[in-house]
Amino acid sequence: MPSDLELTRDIAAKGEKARRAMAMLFERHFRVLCRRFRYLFPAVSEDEVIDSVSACMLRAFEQAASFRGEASFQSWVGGMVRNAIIDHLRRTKRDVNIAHDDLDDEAPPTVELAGLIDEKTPLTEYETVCLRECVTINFSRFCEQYPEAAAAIHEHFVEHTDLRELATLLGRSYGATRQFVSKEAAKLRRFLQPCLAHLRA
Amino acid sequence: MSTMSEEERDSRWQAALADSTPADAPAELKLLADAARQALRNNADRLTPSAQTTQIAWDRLRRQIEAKGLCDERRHWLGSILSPRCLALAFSLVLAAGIGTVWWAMQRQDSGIVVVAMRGEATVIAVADADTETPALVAQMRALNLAPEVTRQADGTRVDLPWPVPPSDPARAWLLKNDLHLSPDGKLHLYLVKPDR
Repeated sequence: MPSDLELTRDIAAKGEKARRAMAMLFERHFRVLCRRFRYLFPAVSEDEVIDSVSACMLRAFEQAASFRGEASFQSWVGGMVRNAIIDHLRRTKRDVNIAHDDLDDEAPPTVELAGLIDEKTPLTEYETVCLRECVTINFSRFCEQYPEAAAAIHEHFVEHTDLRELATLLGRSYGATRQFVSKEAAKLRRFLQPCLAHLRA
Repeated sequence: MSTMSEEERDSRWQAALADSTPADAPAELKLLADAARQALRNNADRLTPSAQTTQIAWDRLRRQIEAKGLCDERRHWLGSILSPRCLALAFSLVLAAGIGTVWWAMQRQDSGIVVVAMRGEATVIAVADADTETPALVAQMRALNLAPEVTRQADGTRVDLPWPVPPSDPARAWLLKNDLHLSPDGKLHLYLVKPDR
């Protein structure tokens, strides 16, 4: 399987290989990039995100010869998409809606759960359904209040995206990203914990 | 467990969220992390463009690529050099099979015309010598350690890859090269039909 760097070289060389390389890069990255930026900017419609990602992929194809592979192709295009969406939001006079570090602690207080559930008393099927429903509802609230945090948590913990790549996506330094992810994951726990408390109250 | 500090609990929560739960993690954290990962995945699925939307975006981007002259090789792309017979075949295929999108059509040197189109999540390939091409395609798939299921049907042959092809599988590049696009869940549903059947 050719690497992204090899594919960008094929694009720079033009010809039949270029067509295939563009198709492969599109298939590898388009849907992931759209998902990431829809997570990150919920105020932006699907069509707007698709337009931005498509325009930036086209720009990346045009500038393929300048891609050196120091960062991943997805980070490179992702940086362009991020700037394009922020510009678009500013032009259309909408909130850029990026979470700030001072958006702290509107989460519910921590509930002490230790011992509520143990291996000897597993949840019933009904309790499991109730738990998942409650978590879905509370997670939606979290997403509404902290879209950037939800996007970062998904990328890091579920997709296992490297923190350096995540830093590019978020437009933060590596250290700040690490701190942000850790802090927001703790905040998510405080949002979700009451679900267990209600279950076994 | 009740004496666990908040920092310790957060650290175990993060491990559980990343699905690398330590064996001694509290049961409630594991449960909560499972439910949270599911909610995160569901949200991501909802935000990911569908196969149809992705196809439309690619069709549009491809036209822009062509307009900008980023690719010299044009013969594969619909809307470029198509003979009238080829276009007529594409349209008849759309009308006859209720196919949504004709992907590309070309006049081949060896056996005539090939039309590749989409019907829902399935790819339809109309090729003049489908009867001889199907076994060759299936043999190539088997050589790549894929396990196609072949079903003869009234209007042609159906070839399915019922198990997802992982993104890391080198066979993916071969499939893409041959315009055999996988559905979002990584499976392949393919119909090979004779256009005049």
